[in-house]
Amino acid sequence: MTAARACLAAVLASLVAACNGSIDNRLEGHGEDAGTSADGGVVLGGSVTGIKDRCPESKAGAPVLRRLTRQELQNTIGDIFPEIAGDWGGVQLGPDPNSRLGFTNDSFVLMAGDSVSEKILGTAEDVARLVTDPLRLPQLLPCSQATPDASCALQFIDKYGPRLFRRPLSDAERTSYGAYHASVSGRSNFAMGVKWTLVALLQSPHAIYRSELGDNGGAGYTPGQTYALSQYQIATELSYTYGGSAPTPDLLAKASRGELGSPDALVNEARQLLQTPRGQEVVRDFFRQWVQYRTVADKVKTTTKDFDLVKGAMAEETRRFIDQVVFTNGGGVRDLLVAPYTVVNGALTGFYGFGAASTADYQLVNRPANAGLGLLAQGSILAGNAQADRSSPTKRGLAVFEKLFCNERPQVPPNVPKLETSAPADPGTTTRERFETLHASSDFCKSCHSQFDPIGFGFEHFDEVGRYRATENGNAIDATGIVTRIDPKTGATSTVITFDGLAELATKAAGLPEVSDCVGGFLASYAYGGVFECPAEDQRTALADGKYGLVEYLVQLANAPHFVRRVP
Amino acid sequence: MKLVGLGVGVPLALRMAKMAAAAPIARPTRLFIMYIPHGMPDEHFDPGASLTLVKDGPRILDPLAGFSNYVSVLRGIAMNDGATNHAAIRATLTGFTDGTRTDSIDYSIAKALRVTAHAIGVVPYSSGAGFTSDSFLIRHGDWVSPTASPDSAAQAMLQGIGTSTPTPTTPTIDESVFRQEALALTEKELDSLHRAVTGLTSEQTKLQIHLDAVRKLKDAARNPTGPTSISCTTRPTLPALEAARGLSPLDQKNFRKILDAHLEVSAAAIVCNSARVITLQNMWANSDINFGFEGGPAVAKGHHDPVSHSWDAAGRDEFRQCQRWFYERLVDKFLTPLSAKDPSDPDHTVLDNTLVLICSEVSDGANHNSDASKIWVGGKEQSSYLPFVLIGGAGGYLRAGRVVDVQRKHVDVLATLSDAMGVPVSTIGGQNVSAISELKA
Repeated sequence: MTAARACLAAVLASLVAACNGSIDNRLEGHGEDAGTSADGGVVLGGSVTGIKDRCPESKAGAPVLRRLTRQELQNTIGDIFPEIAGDWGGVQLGPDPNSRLGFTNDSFVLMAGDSVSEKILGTAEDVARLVTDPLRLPQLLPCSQATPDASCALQFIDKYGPRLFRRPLSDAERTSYGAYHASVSGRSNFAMGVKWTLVALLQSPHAIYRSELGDNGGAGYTPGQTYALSQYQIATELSYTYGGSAPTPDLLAKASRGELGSPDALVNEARQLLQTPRGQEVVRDFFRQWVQYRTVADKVKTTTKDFDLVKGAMAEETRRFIDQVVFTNGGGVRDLLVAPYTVVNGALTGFYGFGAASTADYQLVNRPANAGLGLLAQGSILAGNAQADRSSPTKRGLAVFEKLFCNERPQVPPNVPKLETSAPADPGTTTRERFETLHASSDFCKSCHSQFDPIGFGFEHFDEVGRYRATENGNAIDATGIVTRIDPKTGATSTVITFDGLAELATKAAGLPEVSDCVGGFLASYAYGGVFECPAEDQRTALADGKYGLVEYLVQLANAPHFVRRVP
Repeated sequence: MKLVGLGVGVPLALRMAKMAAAAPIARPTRLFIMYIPHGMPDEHFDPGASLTLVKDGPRILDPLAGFSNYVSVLRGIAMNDGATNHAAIRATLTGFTDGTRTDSIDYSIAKALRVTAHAIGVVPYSSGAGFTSDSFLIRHGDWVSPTASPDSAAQAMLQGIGTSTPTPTTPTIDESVFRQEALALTEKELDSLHRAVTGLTSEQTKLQIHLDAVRKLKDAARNPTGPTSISCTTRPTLPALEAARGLSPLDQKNFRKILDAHLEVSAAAIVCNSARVITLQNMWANSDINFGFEGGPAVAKGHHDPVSHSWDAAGRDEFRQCQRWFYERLVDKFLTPLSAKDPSDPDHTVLDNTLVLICSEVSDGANHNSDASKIWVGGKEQSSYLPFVLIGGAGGYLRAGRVVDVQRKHVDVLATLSDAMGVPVSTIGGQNVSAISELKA
């Protein structure tokens, strides 16, 4: 069956109209619903389109409880109980589920259902067993040997409870945990009482969730009313957002003194936290999850055996490139997209054809004239968004369509067969020509592919493993393309930019406020743990104006209304 | 009646599997579910009207030739609820498109039997992209990332075997009561917090899910579950597990060793009756794992792309080799050990008392459908349906050794599993279901 016939058959068979259906497969993009839900998103939180909208002013989002991610819980326990590091196998939780945006810290996705709760309990018991080891407990709690009584138990509760809850315990909580210790130890021994008290503290909702509820005085929540976050809630928000772990005793002390009330104080704390190794890892995690550049290491290319030797290095190249742009140079969205350099090792240098292959370590190099610019020219992006044996204007176009323009990936309709790709490509045609023929073969296919294939055509000077090619099988390459916009009300299509090649696409996209708004929206959603409507408009304006680099933009998110108050 | 399942936006009771109390099971039946992603090349899978499997034959099911009396091939099964494409992975064991209406069937059955539902996986998610919706197969209150390490799986599934209990020199303390009390304290805090967020619907839902989970844990602590009668006194020798020890379970190169170890451990646990419900997830819906790994089918290409999406004969033959390879491993490391007499029921083999389901979210890989329909392959019309295969006697429940042509939704297969395990259900997720009578003995 030819591709065109396959596509036509799909139309007839599925009777699915319009581009909120789509196609599937190798040609193209079909079946790639990772991070999205073809059924309307019940599974995962967030909407790409929701993060690009602009408002006249910033709005505070809803009060939320944010379940700690696996990494946050790991860091928290590791920081509070460094003494068990050598013996502790780590949290039992598996990887956190990705949201529709690709983030693993979305408060609307992270739940504590049966499986997670069981693993939290298992983790709590592991940690408590190690902490109360007969050789360890006396070091952590000297009174456990000298005077193992109720007062000593309260010492333990007072020492670790506020660290785990990120606030002082209420009198009722102290009493409750003290009574529990007394009850258990009365039937066993002091250490056993401490062990189970610690289990209860560790699995408490006050430990497992970061509270960004604000203070409601215990009276429930009323729509439209503003609820200010407490100083301790702000300290917690700062510490996890910018440092990936629980607040230090110093930060909690500042909260107790009310020193986290001014915008300057918040921004200063955020900036300091981002300078720590943990803070930098928080930033790196954003980029890893946003463009998922590490998936290149999972890819198989049937045309180029050497790809297996460098695909891991491609992911490392992108990590270092981003480090260079955002940390070393303090760059913004424009820099990310048009940086004329990359960071390659000797193997990549040879693979890309930048020079002779060598054993040299990673170093900053300027890209050759034809090797594109910025993030989009990274081998990890090019090869990670391509087929096993050929480039993919659809996958590459979709990456830009989603990640830079914040458009929703069309849903995959039922029973749309793959378009024929397995037959040997006609050496007289280019990939572009085949795509244009196939995807123009019906209104059904065209309705979706016309939105992103023309973006992906701009990448056609780069093959499936991310290397520059002047021609394709001896045929001239047409790398011109177009980004269009569809008016959501009228359905009318208008041109956003036209371009010839990846470098021009990157350069023109970098100058568009909507691209900056999109990237800024992604970063805000990552920082705030979900999609909220217009949470940081002043900051996004400054990012688009080039006043902030991406790291400084992240810092300044601490100065947005959403950071300190909430409105249901 | 104990209700299970969680959902959002629909009355909870409607979303739950309506489940009778576990009926007495005459024989010690075990359940093993194995997921193989992205369907089959149908022309290489379809066994024809009668089940004729050829020893060393090339077809996907031929490796089962030595067990043909135990095999039931279902032809005509379609995904329930319109689930299709990769998203159908979430419906495969839950029954529904959104995947959140019910728990996966393994969990519902295990809870009714008061045993643990073990979830294990061979590279069940991408190390680069993480645990995405394309990996969501098993749902135990929330989506479960299967245990990837065979060592960890062995610890959980072979617990209690070959560990003699030393005579205590001092009186031991039963901590299960303390566990219950710790959970009760957490429950109280959750309940209080739940009331404090009145007016915040999504937060109340979040806490209700957590509260329900903690209550189940508390109940489990009060009434410890576990195998009722472990039939092995010594831990079996597990060479494949030893061979996999220390290997990264998410490294694609180790795929064969990890799979073999998981199958070997699962077989040992089922023989010993130390695990009665196990689900093994191989990869995820669109996994591009290179099938050129050591000991594999020697197809050095990505499983999803390009292999599973091939339309041409050569590509579909490669897909045949890959999918057939899973059946080879299943036979070698899992079914063969189950041919032994059942220590718990010496009149039968373990396989007589076991029910194995092989399943996928897609019917024909290249056509990418999840229904039962006719497709065109190589200029010929070909039947396409979900490749669901049952293996084993299920304690006398099944009349196997047949091809069973039925036009049913896959949720009825899930109901059949439940029925066979002594947990009859009339609804799943509020939808009426019934066991497929044509399968029964």
